[in-house]
Parts: sequence; C-alpha cells; structure tokens
Amino acid sequence: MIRSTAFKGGLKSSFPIVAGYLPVGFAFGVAAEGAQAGTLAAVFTSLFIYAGASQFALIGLLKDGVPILSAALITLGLNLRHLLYGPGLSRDTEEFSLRERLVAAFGLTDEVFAVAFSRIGIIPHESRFWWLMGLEFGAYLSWFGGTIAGSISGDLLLSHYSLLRPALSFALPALFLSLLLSMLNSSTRLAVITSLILAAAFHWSGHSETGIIAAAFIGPGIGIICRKNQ
Amino acid sequence: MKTDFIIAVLLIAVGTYLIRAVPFVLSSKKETGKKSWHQINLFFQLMGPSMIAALLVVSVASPLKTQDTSQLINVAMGFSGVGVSHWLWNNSGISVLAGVTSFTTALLFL
Repeated sequence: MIRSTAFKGGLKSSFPIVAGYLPVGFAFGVAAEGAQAGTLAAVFTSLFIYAGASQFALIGLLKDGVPILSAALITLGLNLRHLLYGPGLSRDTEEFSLRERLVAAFGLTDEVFAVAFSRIGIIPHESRFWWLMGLEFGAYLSWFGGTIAGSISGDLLLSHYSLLRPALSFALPALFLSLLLSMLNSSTRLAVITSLILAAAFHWSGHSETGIIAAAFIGPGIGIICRKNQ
Repeated sequence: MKTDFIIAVLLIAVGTYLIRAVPFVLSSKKETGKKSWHQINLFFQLMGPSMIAALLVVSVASPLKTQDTSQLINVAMGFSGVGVSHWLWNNSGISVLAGVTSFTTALLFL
C-alpha cells in the first residue's frame, strides 16, 4: 500500500469520528461564545489543545472565575487518561520511528485511540503510520472546522438575539452530562457517584477546585477498592 | 485575547502533548503486560468520568445557587433533552444541541 492510499484509508476510517466531532466542535464554539471567550480564543484553544472535554472545562472554569493556573492544572488533570493511549498502541506500532511517534502523538484523542486500537492491526505494517496520519487528520480537521462554524454561528446568533446568552450558557453542563452518560457503565458507576457527592459537598462549602481534585483521586480509588472486594 | 489566557492555553497544549507523546515514545510491548500497568490503566479509566462528574456539578451548581425554582425546572428540562437524545442517538454533539434547545424552550415558555 503506497503512502497516499494508506492516508486515504485512514481518512475514510475517520468518518465516524468526524460525525461525532463536527457537532461537538460546533457546540464548543457556541459555548465559548456563550461564555464570552470570543471566536479567536475558541479557535486558538481548539487549534493547540485539541482535547474536547478539557477545552469545555477550561472555558467553564475561567467563566466561573477560577484562577488561570488552577484552571490549567485541572484541565491537564482531565487529560491524564491520555497517558495510556501510546502504550495501548505500542504493540501495533513497533515499527514507528521516534519522529513518527512524536508526530502521531499529537492526535491521540479518545476517539482516535479507540478507532486506531480496533483497526490498526489489520493494516499492513509499512502503511500504519500514514493510515494513522489520515485518521488523525480527518478528526483534527473536523474538530477545528466545527469550532470555527460554532463560534461564528454563536457570535451571529448572540449579536441578533441577546436573550440566547443564558441559553448558550447551558452548553457546558449539557456537554458534561452527555460525556458522562457515554462513559457510564457498571465499572465506572461507583466512582462517578462518589465524585458527584464529593464535588457537590465541596462546591457548597465554597471549595469547588478542591472538590474537582478530590473527586479525581478519591472517586477512582473507591472504584478500584470496591472492584477488588467483589 | 488576554495574555494570561494565551499562556494558559499554550501551557495546557504543551502539557497535553507531553502526556500523549512521552508514554508513546517510552512504551514497549513488555511494559503493557505488567499487572501494575493494568491497575494504573484502571485508575486513569476511572479518573476521566470522575472528573467530568465533578465538572458537571460545578457547571450546573452556579446557576442553581439563585434558588430560583424556574431555573431548576429549566435545568431539569435541559438535562432531559440531553438524556433522551443520548438514548436515541448516542452522539455527544447532538445531545448538547438537544439539551440547549430543551433548556431554551423551557426558558422561553415556562
């Protein structure tokens, strides 16, 4: 398989991700406008960070007046799960050079990892890098494009219908709930319930940031302990 | 854009890239088979949903602090829209748009 064929194959494999990223990227652009972050800030964030949930988190935390350094640390904490994606793919990417790994790492989002993990094994070894590039390029382009479209539409809507501002502010809770629903299963349920209770308790005592960090460690800890005891 | 915001985004971007790149560069077939790796894997798998749950509470709790019953109904309607949409299509983007639409409808008519 030549490079361009492999790249096109990866691009084709990215279609299910594109279908998911376009509306979420659009929603991020709209939410950023709703939070008064501005089109440029939304596009800048999508271009460089390229990590869905954490981008929403960053905008939401800054909107709530959380100090910028704390917001950055919480956002990075949310991306810690990405530590596992490289090792998860390493078995099927042993032939990748150092430079190829450094390039491919940028696009390893949740969805790209999921598709790559399930399909890269059937791609010929010599074509895997370019196939992954096609997959990542399709996903990145749709995320970036969705953000621009959402941000411009949000800006236009808000300039004509200012009453929509409180409505668009609901985009962040809606996104977090939809992400949570897609992650909820028997193995994550206990950790999620623990985190909801912890975050609510800390929030109402005036320590929202501490609550998020506590939930990030205590929730999974309780989830693992209970799984061991079963 | 404020300089603070640009610096924060660049810091997060570099941090996120390193989180993805360093284990990818260092990983090998042997390491992923270790039992401790599976424990760490499980911890990080649970960390994502846990943090999103906490962020959900913080994002929704601020508007509800007003103790306005109509705001509570609006939020409940919005969440219902997200829940039904998730059940029907299982697509985060569509769920967000459905949630915002339900919330707006409640805001305008209830």
